[in-house]
Order: sequence, then structure tokens, then C-alpha cells
Amino acid sequence: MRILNVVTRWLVPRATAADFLMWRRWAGAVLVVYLVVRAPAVTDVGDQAFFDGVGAFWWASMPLEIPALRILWGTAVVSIAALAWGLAPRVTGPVAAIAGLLILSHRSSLGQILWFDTVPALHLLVIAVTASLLAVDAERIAGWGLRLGALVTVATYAVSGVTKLRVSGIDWVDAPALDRHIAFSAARAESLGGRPSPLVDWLPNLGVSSTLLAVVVLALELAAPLALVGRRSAVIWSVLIWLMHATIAATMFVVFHWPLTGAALVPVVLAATTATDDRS
Amino acid sequence: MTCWARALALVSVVVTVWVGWPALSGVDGFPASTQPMYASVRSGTADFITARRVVDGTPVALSMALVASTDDPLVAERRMRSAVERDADAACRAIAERVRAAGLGGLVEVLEQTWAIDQGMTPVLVGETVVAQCGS
Repeated sequence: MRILNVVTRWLVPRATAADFLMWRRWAGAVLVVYLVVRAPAVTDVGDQAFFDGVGAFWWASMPLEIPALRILWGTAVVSIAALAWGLAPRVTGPVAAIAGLLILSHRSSLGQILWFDTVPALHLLVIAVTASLLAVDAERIAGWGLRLGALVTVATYAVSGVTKLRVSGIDWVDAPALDRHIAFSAARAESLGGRPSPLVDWLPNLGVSSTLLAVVVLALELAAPLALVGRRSAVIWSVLIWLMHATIAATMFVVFHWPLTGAALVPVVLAATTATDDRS
Repeated sequence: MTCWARALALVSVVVTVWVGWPALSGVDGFPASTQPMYASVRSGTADFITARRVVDGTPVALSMALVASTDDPLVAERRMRSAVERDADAACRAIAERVRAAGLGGLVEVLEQTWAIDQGMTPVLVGETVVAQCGS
């Protein structure tokens, strides 16, 4: 029973509601801006032949009609904005969770899962449920939401590290894997009418070892659970992960908006620095 | 600890296991994913299906929006591959239609390009094969 209590206290710590509200506002704002900026892509069904339902559309064999998709997009944007601003969270929370999951699932059902949308979808669910329950016990629920948000972030990076080892083994750091990924992104952009990063041409001149960078990336991902252990480790890990994504964006023009804006990392830092269990 | 606190803790455990499960199962999904981006070690070459205009015998590059109706390289890559596997001529006609709608002329070629990506971070185009031609 004692262990169970300790685990429960850690998973459901106390935090000030203001800390959770900060994450809710920031993550909500980032998601709304993302959905608005990406509206043409999010409300496009492309070629119906490529549709392969995933997530909330796992059951579907056809994309939504454009008018329905636009209504869904509008509902998601308005409800997530309302949730972020704290308007009737018991109503806007569930609506935002459902509409947000549906619109992001739909986009990933058009023939290509968009992996950078997975964590925003998961965090939206966490934020929506937390906001809906906040009135029950603000401190406990806020702490629970932040801790769960941190767990989702950390688990996602750990999964990414494990997948690299499962798919490629130690070759991922042994072979010039990183160079090839950067060259692949540049070739793809150039071939398909995009623009490769100009950094590709002069990055090799810096003399940074690709193998060392690969080791650092893999270590950061596999060591993600350490970010849950203490305040310092949470902050250091979050800063390093942010730098990793900034480097990816600069060299490959691949923008992971969720960690780069901090929306993925805020719960990790807040859960470690402000949430406390009853013993502290 | 109260019952509802235990219930919340249980929810956290279930969600974490659900998010982490793809690492063990290897099954990619949404939103619980294996996060496979960059997980593989790529071979020394990469092939892409793309398209271009040919004006007076000179190849002219097209934007990603005209090639694949998207601005996302990941989506464009998958779309072009699937479209050509299904029907290269139909894919060519669809691109030619977008090119015409943009007020551009010329012959449209759909082609497969091969790039060497094992020579540092800078890719080198090493070959291309035209798989369909259309338009005027």
C-alpha cells in the first residue's frame, strides 16, 4: 500500500492551477496558430485514393467531404481557442478534444501519418480532460495534468529512440546515418520543387562529427525518462531537446512546431519544478 | 490518497503504456506512434518521383504545389510515388492541369530521379528516367 501511495502521489502531485493554465494557454495558442496557418493543407482531402484512416478515423475508408471538413476545422479552431482562454472549459474541453483529435487524425489519414502531429493530439486530450476536471480539486488536477503531459512527451522521445535501435541497431550511430538523412531531405526538397537548407553546404566545414551528433541524439531520446527524475535534469534535457529540433529545422527545414515552440516541453519543466507531492 | 486520485494515477499509467506500446509492438499509428522518422539507415541512393515543364527543349522546375498539390515534402514524396504506381499518365495529366491553371505552358514530364546521398550532406543527382509525358 505504501508503494502504491508513493506512486499515486508522484502521478497526481499538487501544482498551482496557474502553472497548468500557463501550459493550457500556450499550447492552445500554438495549436490554433498551427491550424490556421496550415488551414489549406488541413482542409484539403487530396486524392481520395490515398486515404487510409488512422486515429479517430481508423474506421473510415473515405475522407470527409470538403464542407464537413471545413466545419470540423472551424469547430476545432474555435473550441481550442476558447479552451485556451478558459471559456467554459467543461464544455469547450470535450469539444476541443474531439474536434482536435478528429481534424489531426483526418490529416494523417491522407496517405501519410504526420508524426509531428502525434504529440499535439495527445497533449490536447490531456489538456482538455484536465481543464474539464479542474473544478474538482484545482491543485491535484493541475498537478496530474502537468505530470501526464510530461509523461507523454518523455514516452514519445523514448519510443523514438527505441525505434531507431529496433530498426537500425547500432548502425544508426556507426554508419553515416545522420549525413544521409540530411542529404536525403535536401535531395527530396530539390527534386520535388522545394528549397533545401543552405546550411547543408557549409555544415561539413564546421568539422562536427556526425557520429558524435548521432550518439547525442540517440542518448537524448533514450535518456528521456531522466527528465522526470529531478528539476535540473528536466531543464537540461528540455533545453538539449529544443536545441536538437532547432538544428533539425536549420539543416533539414523540417519544423517540429510542438517542441520548438516549447508546447511539448513546458509540462516537463513545470511538472519537475513546481509540482510537489504531499511529502515535500 | 482518495479513490479518485488513484483513478487518475491509473489513467496516467494506462496512457503512458499506450503511448509507449508502439516501441514494443512496432506498429505505427496515430496518435500512438513508433515515431519512425529518421529511424532507418538510408542506402546510398534515394529515388524520387517528380515532374517538370519542358519549354523549347529546356527543362524548367515546378513548385511543390504544382507537382503534388502540397507544400509538405513528406506528403509530396508519398503522393507522387503512389500516383505513379497507380497510373503515371493520369498523374501527368493532373499535374499538367495544375500547370495550365497556373498560366504556364509547355510539355510536362513525370520522371524518377536518383540522387546519391552517401557523399556527405550534399546530395548529387546521378540519374533520371522520364516515366510519362503529357501536355503541349
